[in-house]
Amino acid sequence: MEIFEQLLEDYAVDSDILPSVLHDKIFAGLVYWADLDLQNLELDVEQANSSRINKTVAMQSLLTDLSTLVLEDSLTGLFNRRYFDRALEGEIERSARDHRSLALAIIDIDYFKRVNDTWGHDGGDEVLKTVANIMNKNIRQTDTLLRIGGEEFAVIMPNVRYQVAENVMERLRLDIQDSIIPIKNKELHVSVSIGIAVREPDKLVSADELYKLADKALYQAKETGRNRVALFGVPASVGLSISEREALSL
Amino acid sequence: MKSIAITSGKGGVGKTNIAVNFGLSLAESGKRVLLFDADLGLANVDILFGFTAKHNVADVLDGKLHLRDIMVEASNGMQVLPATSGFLQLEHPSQSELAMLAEQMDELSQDFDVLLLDTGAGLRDTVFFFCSVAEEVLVVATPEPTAITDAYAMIKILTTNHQVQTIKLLVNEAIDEREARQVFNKLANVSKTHIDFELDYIGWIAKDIQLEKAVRKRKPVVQSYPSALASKSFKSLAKDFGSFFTSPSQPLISGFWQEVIQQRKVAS
Repeated sequence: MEIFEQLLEDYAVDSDILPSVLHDKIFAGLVYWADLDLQNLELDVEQANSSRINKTVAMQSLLTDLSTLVLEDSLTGLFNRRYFDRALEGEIERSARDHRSLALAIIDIDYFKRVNDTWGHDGGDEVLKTVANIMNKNIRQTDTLLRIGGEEFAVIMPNVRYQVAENVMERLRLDIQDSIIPIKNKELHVSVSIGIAVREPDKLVSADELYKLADKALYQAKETGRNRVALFGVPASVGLSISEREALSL
Repeated sequence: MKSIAITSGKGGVGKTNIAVNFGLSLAESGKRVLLFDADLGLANVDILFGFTAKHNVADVLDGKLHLRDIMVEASNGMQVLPATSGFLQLEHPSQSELAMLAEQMDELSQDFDVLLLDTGAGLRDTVFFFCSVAEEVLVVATPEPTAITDAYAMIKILTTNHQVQTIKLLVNEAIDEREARQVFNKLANVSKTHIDFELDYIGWIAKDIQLEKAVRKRKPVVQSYPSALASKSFKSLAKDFGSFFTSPSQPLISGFWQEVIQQRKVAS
């Protein structure tokens, strides 16, 4: 954080004018990048005109480029693993402060190795891009979609409990299952397995723990046949009849 | 030692707060109280108290320590058996591990009048186990519709699949007694008509902003705001304790579970 504060001061960039999301991204990027080569950053800013506004603009665009480079996955354009760790921690802090729930889904493409083996890495990349697009269409505006591993994705859903998280993920799963992915004049179908964990408002669960719980649910989804959504710690009401539900909601 | 499992269908209805504050109120009234943080793997009793336990139930399951060795005195003489957060293996302990914990709790029964088991929520074996070994089960619900539905689901599963004979309902976050009674009546009626089960009512805890403040201060509400509405609810609940829990005390491992353990010992 010090490096970031120092840079802002050096170049007279007012941190208030940076949107907070960008601020977060930049910080994570700087920590990573500043270690590599701080000199380049200084040079580029030197090139900018000396007026404060220009410096600010130069700094901002530089930092945006930087954060894109460091926090985005170049293939899918989604946020990457590095951003995930930080974003999840941030969302957990926020949900704890606001007494809200938080859902995390981990999504894994089924039998992805087969896709790579059959269609080569180009084919695999094509599948990753298409699946990422379908997922992006199906999440809500407040959700964050990230690519956190080879064929592994995550969706962070603030202020969401099991029911909604499951609905969103079920919709996403069906859409992927029903989609046709054209590859080398062939039509390919893929499916995904999804694990969901929810941090209830009164529970103190760390980012790492929530990730492990979602991952455990994902494992369950894979174990029980793939192409399905599994929840960690299913709420008790799943097994009720319609008449029971009706009697309770009167 | 009277054992009482506290559970709910849905998380976030205030189980741990109830276990802690009910326990402290009982302790204040002179009872020797032991509180077991039975939400293994996602425990948080220690957080409500603001202490960090040196040892926890993970050390007991490892066979390194006895439950007796991990007890921490909270206050008013109330002792806490801390669990741990973030140990995934504790999320799904085996039946024999759970039975071992119950047996060790039985060994402590001479030293305590009341054992409160703060279980987790949802359909988990650990929750079912502690509810089926405890003499009494207290289900917590709030007036929120999903909390009512999930409370009923838990009542249904406990009574139909897990040999639980009696359940008492505690309504949390109620505006007044009338609202609490409405929640109870709804649950009691549906239990009667759909699963032929007689639900008991134990009382209600007032919705109270002081309780949230207390959580943030990491000091239980009965101690940080003794005159708050919620604190008064807990005290009156503790006062009526004797009239609610009248049956003679039994060890956790008895009847059904004794047979299960016996069979396992013979088998191994």
